[in-house]
Amino acid sequence: MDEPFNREKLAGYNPELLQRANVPVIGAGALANNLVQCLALSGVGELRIVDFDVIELSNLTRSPLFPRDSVRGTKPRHKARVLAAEALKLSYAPEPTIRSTIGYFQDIGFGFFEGAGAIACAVDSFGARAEGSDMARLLGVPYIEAGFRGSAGQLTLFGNRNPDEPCFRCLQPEAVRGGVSCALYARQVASEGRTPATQTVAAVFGALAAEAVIAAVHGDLRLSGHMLSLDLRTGRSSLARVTADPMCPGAHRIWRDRIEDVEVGADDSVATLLTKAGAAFAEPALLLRHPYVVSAPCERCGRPVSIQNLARRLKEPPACKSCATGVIPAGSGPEVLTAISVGSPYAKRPLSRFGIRSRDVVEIEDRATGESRIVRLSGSIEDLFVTWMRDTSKAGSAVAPSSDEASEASVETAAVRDESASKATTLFAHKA
Amino acid sequence: MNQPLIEVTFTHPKLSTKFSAEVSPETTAQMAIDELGKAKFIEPASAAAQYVLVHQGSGNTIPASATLASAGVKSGDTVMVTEKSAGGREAV
Repeated sequence: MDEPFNREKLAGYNPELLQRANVPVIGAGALANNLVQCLALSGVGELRIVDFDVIELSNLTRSPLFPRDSVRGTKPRHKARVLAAEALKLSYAPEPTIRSTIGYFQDIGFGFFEGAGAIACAVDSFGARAEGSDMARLLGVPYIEAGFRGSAGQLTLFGNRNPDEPCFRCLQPEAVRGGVSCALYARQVASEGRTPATQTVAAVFGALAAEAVIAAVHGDLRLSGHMLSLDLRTGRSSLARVTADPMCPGAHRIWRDRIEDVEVGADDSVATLLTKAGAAFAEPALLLRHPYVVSAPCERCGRPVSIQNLARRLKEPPACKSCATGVIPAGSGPEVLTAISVGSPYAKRPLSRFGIRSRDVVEIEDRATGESRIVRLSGSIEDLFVTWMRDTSKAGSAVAPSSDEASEASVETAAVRDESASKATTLFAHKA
Repeated sequence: MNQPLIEVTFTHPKLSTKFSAEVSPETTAQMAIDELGKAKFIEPASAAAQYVLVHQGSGNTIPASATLASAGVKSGDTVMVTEKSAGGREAV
């Protein structure tokens, strides 16, 4: 009898399992287009897509799910929205649910990943991939990430079954943590010009990532802890085992079995959360997922300027209202907030102000003992997404980009990076 | 007492060229990558592409902070320089 998945069943796919699967996809660019295309055709029941960006003409040649008319008219269309709508049309899942949200996944929080069978990361920033890796490790969910440049690319899969397994940061410990350096990174990428990219490579790595996701959903983690490298033009390939780095700065902990629900919403204050969830602690403090910039040097005089709208990234350096040009004080740099205790002036602010959203998972630490609790906020994941289902064209509510994104200023963070020269010159000699 | 240098052959991530070097046992993977960049064997690491060393004998990656010696690299071994690509546009 002819049915949609009779060939896939012969290849080992379990369509019922795939219909029940929930796969968050970070990014909606070329790689994600090809990845989502494969997952939708393969019948994955729920896809969640996040991206901040809008479609440009030059994206279309590597994005099979973006229609040609995506760039018509004057109003730019968001990649995540278009990809979700097209994935719904394409899906062979009996009851597909496609959710999309516009913004940065770091600002959506752990609710984006709730119930995930595997997490796919298809963005082109090492820092974002590292942050996705940390979040997947904490949740104990398999994490698949890929990237490409020119005719070559790489794919890695981290099973996240135990905390000691290698993670993305074991490969790339230099990937920036948090958002303070993102603006610097973006400028660096821009200064290096556009990266060569083709549909052929995007299609191959999208398909490889999709197959790794599907395998992970089936419990097949044979690729876990491996990095596959492939050059389409030369045919060269390698499969390396990623070694866990004892010095790794990544999250080598798993929260999955420690998460407790708490009746506190994202609009409640930090103090409310600490009172309810940290009652048993002598000195409870909320540990922020990202450092928030509370002050940064004035671009003219270098004196510290308070940032009223706390931000995890600054697009522009702040300036004093009135200052004389002078010598920049040595050692000045951004001051960041990493934790909030009950007595902090920030404790009265709502959790949402710190990128904490509905169904988010946060860590509360007793500063007196070092003990911690992992709690999940109340609310609905529908607060985070626009949801697309086949019978109803649209349900749920849209999420506007956070005010942080709109009011970001930039800060030069080169000073905080360790650029110290190595002593390698005495340790390494070319042998002709 | 000085430990003997290790003779290592590095392979290019894209081309079929090789780079032979005598490496101190104290040399870490990151130091080796930096030196290969200074010697113009590879392009300097950037926001779009960074490098990971793989010991060909074991098939294992060598963490940036680990010495080649601690990763089991011995004289005469080959270490593959592999590129880790970021992709094409601004940070997400």
